[in-house]
Amino acid sequence: MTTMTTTKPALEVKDLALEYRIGPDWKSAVRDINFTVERGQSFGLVGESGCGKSTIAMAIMHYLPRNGRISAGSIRVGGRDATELNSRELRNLRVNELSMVYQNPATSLNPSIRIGRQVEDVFELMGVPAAERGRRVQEVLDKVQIADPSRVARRYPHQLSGGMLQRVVIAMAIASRPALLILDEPTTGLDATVEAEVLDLVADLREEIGTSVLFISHNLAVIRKMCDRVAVLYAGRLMAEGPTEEMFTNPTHPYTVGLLRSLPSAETGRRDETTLDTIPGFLPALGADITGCVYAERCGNVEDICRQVEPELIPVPGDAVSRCHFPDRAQDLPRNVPEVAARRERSQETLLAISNTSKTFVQEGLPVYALHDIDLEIRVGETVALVGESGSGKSTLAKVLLGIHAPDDGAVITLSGKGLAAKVEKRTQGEIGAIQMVFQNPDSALNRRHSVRRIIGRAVRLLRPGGKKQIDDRTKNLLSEVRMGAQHYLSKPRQLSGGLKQRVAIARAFAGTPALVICDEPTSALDVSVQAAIINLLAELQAEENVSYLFISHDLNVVRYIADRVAVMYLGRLMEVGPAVRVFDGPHHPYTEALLSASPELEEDTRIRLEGEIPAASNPPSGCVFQTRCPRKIGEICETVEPPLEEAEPGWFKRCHIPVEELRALQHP
Amino acid sequence: MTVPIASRSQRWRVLRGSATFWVGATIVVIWVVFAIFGDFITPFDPLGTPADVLNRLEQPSGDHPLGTDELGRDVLSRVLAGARQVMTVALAATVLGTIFGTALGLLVGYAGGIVDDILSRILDAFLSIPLVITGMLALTALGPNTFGVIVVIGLVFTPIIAKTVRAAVLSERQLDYVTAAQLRRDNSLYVLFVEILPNVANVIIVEFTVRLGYAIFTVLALSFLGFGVEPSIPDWGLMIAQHYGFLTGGFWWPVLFPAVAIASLVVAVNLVADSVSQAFE
Repeated sequence: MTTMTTTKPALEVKDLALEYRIGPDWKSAVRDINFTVERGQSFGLVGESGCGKSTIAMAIMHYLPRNGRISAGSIRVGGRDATELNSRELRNLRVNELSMVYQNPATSLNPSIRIGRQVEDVFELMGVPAAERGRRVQEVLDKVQIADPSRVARRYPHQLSGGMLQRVVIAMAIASRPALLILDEPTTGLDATVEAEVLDLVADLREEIGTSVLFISHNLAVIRKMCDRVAVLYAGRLMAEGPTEEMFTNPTHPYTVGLLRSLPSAETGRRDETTLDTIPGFLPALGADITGCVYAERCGNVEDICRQVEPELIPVPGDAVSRCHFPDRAQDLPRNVPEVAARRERSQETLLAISNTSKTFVQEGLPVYALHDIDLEIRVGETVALVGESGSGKSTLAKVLLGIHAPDDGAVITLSGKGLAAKVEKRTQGEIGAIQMVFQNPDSALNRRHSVRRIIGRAVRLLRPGGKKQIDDRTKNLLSEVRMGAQHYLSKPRQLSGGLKQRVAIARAFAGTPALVICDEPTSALDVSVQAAIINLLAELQAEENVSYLFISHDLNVVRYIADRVAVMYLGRLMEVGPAVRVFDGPHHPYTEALLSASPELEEDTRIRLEGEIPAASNPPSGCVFQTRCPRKIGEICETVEPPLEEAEPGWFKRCHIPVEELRALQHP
Repeated sequence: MTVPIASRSQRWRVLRGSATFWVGATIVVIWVVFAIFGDFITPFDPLGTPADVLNRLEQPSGDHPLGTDELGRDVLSRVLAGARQVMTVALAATVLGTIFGTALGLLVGYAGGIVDDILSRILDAFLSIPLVITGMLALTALGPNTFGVIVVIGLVFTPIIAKTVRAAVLSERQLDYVTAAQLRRDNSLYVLFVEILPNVANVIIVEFTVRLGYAIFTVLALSFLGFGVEPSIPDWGLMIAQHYGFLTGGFWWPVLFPAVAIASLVVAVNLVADSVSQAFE
């Protein structure tokens, strides 16, 4: 840091263009990128997958893969051109001035070396004398708010939770007090409560050590919370840039407007009142040759000039720029989908009832209580959302309903009043078709060697047998029900976009006319604009087919939009069950309260911090399982007596000793 | 941005652009031609004629570019004709081992649980026995014959290939498309052969090319040791075995040229295997 003049910006990217070689050709991945991160500033790069944001980060770090290259422009870190450094200077730069935190902390750390040793390595590279290193490791782990640094230092990565690992990685990144810290989707794999803590930590550290931050994320709420300025990328082009609040409250590019509209929020009406707006069309292919604006094909404001002349980045009011011919018309963008939501009829008739259902796994001879005493019913045509941190038993409950795992003895699961066999092998064909699933990740859920026709057709054949012609017709029908054209009939998954793939997976789940479809995070692997379309589709299908959903999600805004009722799980137990409006409006179970307060839209001071980690399911705490982390714990009774799941108000259940009146007084003073 | 995964056409493009692949493939093709047409293009009868005894162990010359062996047979003719024996035996053995290994690997990987535990340990046990020794033991029992060599090498390769395929199946099995098949109560054979097999095909192709190189070496090692080949058939391993005693007498040519043939073929197959695995993995 000695040679740097502190007046130079931390990062200056100028006219940057990057290319990838695919086969013999070089294809443009990003071009004409310009932005500046001032000292101490937090700068956000936001965009959907394929927009080039990680490519830019890799180029700054000089970590482009072998088939990538910088074809034009410069990257200046602290005033020096990083593209022209020799390998020794580059190494110095990485050791002292530039750090990066990647999305998945588990793969950033070496699994077979103790945490302490790995952190120590950083200090060794910095040239800290051996005698001092131990102390510095403690210090830096302490700085990322790890409660017991010496204990954590002795651990191996697999012995720590994802949130703890990300703290360790951040500790390593800030060890040298870098001038620039690049965070690439640092909280994407983490639970909302953990995400909130990590974001708070990054904000605190920024204040403390004054480092500049380049924050890369697809999550608009996170960017809005964390960044002073933000740049929006699309198809390798910088579309808009400006102060964060300006960009969010007064967007001047139709793409930004489209993105913001796709996101459900607390202000959006619920699914019976309005649809979510979407962005039509698809991202152009890598290196596609486009004259005019790259966004023209998908833009509702498009004019002839947009297809002929690519707009420059023009200044707009509020110290911002926009790559649009008509920035002042951006907010008048017409809706892509009509606002009118599909009408549906709901009944009070019970479709599926689960009672007294527990699931105990045996792991290395010890019992693991994955589900405990679940009582839940799902009505015909209703959406029940299941929320809770990872490890709370949401997926186990889904697998029990699907018959993949048999519940413990004593469990009663009925479908339309009739008892359901524990395992899928024992169920009738009708029952199998009646309960189906949409998986989180369509890349994993669809066989990449099979055509759409085979993927859906096989499910139709087994769940609704018939002649070849009937199967073919039904398959085509399903495809059109998920709004896909016949041209995709013979496509392989890799020829489809993420949203189309998820549509195929949804069509497959509907092959046997299901009564209940379990959606396990069906949109969390998708981009926001695609997410909105998939949620609209699920809502429409529900209205058309009168199907019920069990909707597992960690995104509370999506849950608020789509769910009729919400069930909150913690450590294999239902903590709160009730109508969605009631659960969101409160008074809440203390755990629900903590989950809701983790939203990045809220300020840090209103956050309810959950101390510690989720206890192990093999050794749940005595009394109320939440008592070890509960901020509202009232006393000994919480430690000794497990509260029952009681109906405190008609249709609203809670598992808590605190009376509802007292909760109200605590939460709405 | 993630770099797009290679599709089938891209894999061939990678392969076509690789110099390693072309060098290896050219040499292999040349040997394949000799293996098929060797009988027609050899200058002399590789099996020899009674008259040959008059020109035993002649130095390389205009008449016999690679010299003659202890029975006066033309070394060039025998080297060219020898390609057929080693290549057919090695190829057949590798095909056999790949078929058995794939079937076993699919089964073990998909069954999982205790079946996997038991069978995997048995496979490990087989893997711990040195290949050539297993081959010698089996061939001593069976007596020397080409078919025996094919079966023995095929069986010896089976556990190796099975382990590789098993590992690939294990990671495929984690994917949700297998769960989806379970949720529609699809039958296991469909899941194994129609859902999973096409997704592990790359691994099998790579394993096949790598094994082929080893098979050539093993066939020759066994014939050098005197197992497996009927003595009348021209065979590189046997040629070296029969003549290395003459090396001390300065008669290097009947040993050197088959050795060069072996080296060129094995190296070429490995070059191809390397570039195939780079393109497919």
